Amino acid sequence: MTLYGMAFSTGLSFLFLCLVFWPLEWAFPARKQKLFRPAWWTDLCFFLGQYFLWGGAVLWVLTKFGSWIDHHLPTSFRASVAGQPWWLQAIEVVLLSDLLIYWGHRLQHNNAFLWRFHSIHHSAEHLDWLAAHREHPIDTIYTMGLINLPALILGFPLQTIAALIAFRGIWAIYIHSNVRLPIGPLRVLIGAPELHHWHHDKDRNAGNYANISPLMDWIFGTYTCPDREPEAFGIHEPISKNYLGQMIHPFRKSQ
Amino acid sequence: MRTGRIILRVLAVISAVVLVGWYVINESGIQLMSGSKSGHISKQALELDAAAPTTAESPTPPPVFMSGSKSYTGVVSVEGAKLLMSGSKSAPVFDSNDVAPATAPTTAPATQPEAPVILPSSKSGRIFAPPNPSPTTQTLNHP
Repeated sequence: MTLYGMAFSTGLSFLFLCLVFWPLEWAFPARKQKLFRPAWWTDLCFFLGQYFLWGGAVLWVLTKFGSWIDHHLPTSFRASVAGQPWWLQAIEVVLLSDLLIYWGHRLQHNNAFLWRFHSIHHSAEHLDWLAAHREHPIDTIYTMGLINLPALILGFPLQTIAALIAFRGIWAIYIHSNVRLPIGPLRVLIGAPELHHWHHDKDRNAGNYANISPLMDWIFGTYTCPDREPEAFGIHEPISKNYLGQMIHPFRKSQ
Repeated sequence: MRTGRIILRVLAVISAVVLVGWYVINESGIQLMSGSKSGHISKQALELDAAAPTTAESPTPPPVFMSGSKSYTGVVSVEGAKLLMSGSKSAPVFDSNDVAPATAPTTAPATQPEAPVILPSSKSGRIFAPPNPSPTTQTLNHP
């Protein structure tokens, strides 16, 4: 891919996300906030870093991981899974992924080492769609690895549920946006910004760890949804405000 | 004033729904008349479909990953990742067509390594990929 191609796709993606989320954030703001709020440029660096640098690296790791699993799994196991109806496999993969990412996410909040990386994402003191991109690449590898583990093990062809995956991808950005738009019972099924905003409360163990659907939070008792926005987002520990400082933060000794 | 604001709010929701809907359809490779303006499946797409191999020689579409990350969207191209990490400068890493054809049209001879690489899937957290002039069909690989 040429640099021009990367720049084009990045610009187009940015434009698309602006067109989707800026009007929503203007029309249904969860809290009063300027468009170019503090740390907007830092989050833009995360966005660009993800598109230009880390995306490929994360994919490479996942590919290697998938190949490794392929070589170590007996084919009879895959064959038995493939013998199930397609819809059953799809449900299994989605539910297992949600379960894994739920507990993996809780571990990120409770394990000091994992929190070093995950705290970067939580250091955002202003949430909007761009803040969703504030994520350390190692944190991304961890999350992507976990959520894809069931599909990699079961050998489920995820392209068959590509529409669902695409939607969930956009929704993962949406739940970070500065939007409060009541969607009724759908919230139970696919989650909502008001739920995830509480996850970004300054309290490190505020709940709502589920990736998209709050189902796992319900099951394991971490669902929370007060009828208001949290007072403040972010983390208690000091952290650099700039992109490079946040990238090296997990590797600093003074943790 | 109040009515105007309500209208703008409705427009904001509608535009978001339309854009996201379009993105999801595009990303999933659901075929909607092959993008033909006339409402008919384009001749080019039909030709490509006809030319597509239907035997075991058909290339296997690359795996797609779930987007579990906070911001990663859509599906990803493993082939793209390989190309990127192998330092290839010329080959497109991410598919511009946003689709994963189960039977990718491979009408070009296999001895043309420099031909534009058509990756049958996308993305690494990208909403869009760069333009690729090569035509592809859009089919969803249901087993």
